[in-house]
Amino acid sequence: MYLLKGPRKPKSIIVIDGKQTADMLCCVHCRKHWIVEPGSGKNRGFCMKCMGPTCGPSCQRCVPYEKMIEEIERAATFLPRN
Amino acid sequence: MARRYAIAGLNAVTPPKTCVCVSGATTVRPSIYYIAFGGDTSAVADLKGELLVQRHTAAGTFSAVTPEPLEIGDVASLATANTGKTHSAEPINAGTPVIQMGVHYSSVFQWYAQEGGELICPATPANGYHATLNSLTSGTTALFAATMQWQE
Repeated sequence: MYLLKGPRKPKSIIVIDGKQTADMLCCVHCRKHWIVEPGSGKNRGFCMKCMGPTCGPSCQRCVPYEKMIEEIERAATFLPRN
Repeated sequence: MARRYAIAGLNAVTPPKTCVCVSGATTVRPSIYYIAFGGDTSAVADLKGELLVQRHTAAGTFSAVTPEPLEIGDVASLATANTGKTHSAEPINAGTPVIQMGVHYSSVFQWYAQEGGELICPATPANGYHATLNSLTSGTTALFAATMQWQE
């Protein structure tokens, strides 16, 4: 079976000294980027709601990135009731 | 079409020190799509550093810099208040780094986000992302330069 050396749809690329060196995936929940290393043993995941990869157990619970941004903005504008 | 802006800066000497930070404002969510990182113009040296790009909830103390529009005719960036360089007091980090990479002093590291991979700063003052020189080859001091480009 033909195995790809990198992700099929990278979310970012790394260029070092003008040469494209690596492709990266990003977590659909926290937007952490990582280089795919087959056989590294790193525990990644996949969110079936967002239909995208996740960075690990810490992002197992589905909180989409946009939702996280909105929660941060909502917390900043929260006005306590009297 | 989104307006694009850029800032660049060096770290203060002793790592971990933040090179540049970009923060949102109540009226805008800056979306970072390009980061460059590498040694400054000092003599070439065999040094290694670690680049961290991390979200912050407070921007720290920094030297103010006016973001440069990539198109001359564009208006000034809305994300100016908490955007700067060369931090003397570090930003308050939130979560884990979103990009963590070893970088050689003599090479230029560039990160390009594809569609859907941009780092979006919340529309909240002092919340955003910063690029930090986290560690350096022991026993050395050096300056690394970072550039961030974003669109609003």
